[in-house]
Amino acid sequence: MTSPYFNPQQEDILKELINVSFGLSASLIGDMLDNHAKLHIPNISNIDIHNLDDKIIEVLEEDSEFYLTKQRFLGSFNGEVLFVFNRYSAHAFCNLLLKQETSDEGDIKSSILELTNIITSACIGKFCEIIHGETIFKVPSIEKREIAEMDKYDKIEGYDNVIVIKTALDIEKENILGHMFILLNNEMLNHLKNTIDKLS
Amino acid sequence: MINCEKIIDSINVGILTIDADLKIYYVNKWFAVHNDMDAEQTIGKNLLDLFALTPESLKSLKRHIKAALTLSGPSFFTADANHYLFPMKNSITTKSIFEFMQQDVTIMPYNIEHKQVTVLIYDQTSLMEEKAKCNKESEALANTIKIANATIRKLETAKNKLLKQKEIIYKQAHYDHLTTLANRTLLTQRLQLLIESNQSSGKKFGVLFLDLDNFKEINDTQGHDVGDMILIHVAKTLLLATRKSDTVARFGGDEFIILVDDIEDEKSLQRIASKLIDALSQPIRVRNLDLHVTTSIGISLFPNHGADFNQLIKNADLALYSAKAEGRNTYKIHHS
Repeated sequence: MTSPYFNPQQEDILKELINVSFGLSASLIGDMLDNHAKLHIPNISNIDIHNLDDKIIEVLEEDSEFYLTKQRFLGSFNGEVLFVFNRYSAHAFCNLLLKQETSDEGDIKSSILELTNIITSACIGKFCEIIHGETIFKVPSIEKREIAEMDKYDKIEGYDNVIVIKTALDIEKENILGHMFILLNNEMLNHLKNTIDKLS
Repeated sequence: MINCEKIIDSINVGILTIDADLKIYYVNKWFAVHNDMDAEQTIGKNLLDLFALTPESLKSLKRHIKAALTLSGPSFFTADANHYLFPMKNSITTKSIFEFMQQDVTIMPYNIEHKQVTVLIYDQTSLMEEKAKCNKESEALANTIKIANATIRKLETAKNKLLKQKEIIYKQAHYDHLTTLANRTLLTQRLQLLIESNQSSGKKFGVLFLDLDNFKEINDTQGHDVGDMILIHVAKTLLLATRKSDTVARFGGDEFIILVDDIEDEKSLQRIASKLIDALSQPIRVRNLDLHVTTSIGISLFPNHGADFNQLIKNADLALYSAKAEGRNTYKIHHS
């Protein structure tokens, strides 16, 4: 049985691929904001799906409220992308995008969806490109959640692995911190790993 | 041969093709019908000729078009976050909370070279209506729960208050206000309980009737406040010198009664009486004065000296009278 984790070489290549996607995303985000945006070289890790909730709690640190986006992608490369933003980062990004001091929930949700749409599309598009796969994206959703209520939310089923990608976006003096979780089943993860191995 | 246009015109999704400058290249039947337009006549027009988009919506639309073209992938607006992009009349015939159709909008690249995209519009008004209804019900439910919780808290506070008042009333009815010892009422209850339980078990208990020997003199010479302090001190001394299972009561004035349960014989009571006399003979320091108080004790024993409250108290009192007659600061056991 092959290990579900990436070996250092696979991780390096994956990081490189994501970095390319991040470069494209940062350029688009910069255009959106009429500002210079920089997405840091991502931190990548791979966890079992059962540890997803604990990982979300861990990355949010002290924050109790957070925004979670979900988007499925279907086809020969399929899975689901989740994004998690703490309250501060979500507000900060929205205020920068809409150039306003305060924002309502609708503004925040639409801004975050716009941001995650770009990063998701760039990353998953890149993965599809290297594995010569086809995918279509379902309409994303966003909701505000609370760490204290984690047990009450419906669990996502049908996946085995999660690729965790830290997304740190610098705009002006703000550091917008989010985490991207790519949920894949064993078949898709192995497919991705085999393709990465061929690239090395 | 398949007629794709016929299919496109029959689906329940709005479709239009525009470029980055918002020039319209194609609209399907759904879009034309929902906007009360002739599809052919919209071709070549600008989207802004058809819709009065807010500056924010316009900016957002342009950003989404750019993202779709740059990433060669879809870009989304959701009804949940944005409500609608194109102000199109709500077609629901029942009373609706929304003036405009709630839309999920997907923007797909159509021809990247010509910067053209396809815009797909999904009517989500019914869904959003349901969601709003659910949210309203959830809010109402949350509000009801909030009110119920507040009522429960108020009731709990009232209950605690009542319990405290009950406790205060009980204390006032059963304990002596000055010394906090048991009063006559509680003494009567405890004595009755002892009689009932010891009648069946055959065990013995003693009744010690104490009267301070020179209290009236101290009260008269030092004042009632000093007298009260002496009584408090005596009460504490008696509590310290007896077991927790014994009942120490203030019977009235400078008279105290102690119920000593589970004793073997009269000797046990004599030892206790002697211990009490010793303990009370220690000088009491009040306002820089060492005051000396002594006590006389009369003792009766259940069941030997009585089988009811009055008989036991009366016989203990008679023994006390004997102790006083013998020169005070001593104890006497009743002899029938």
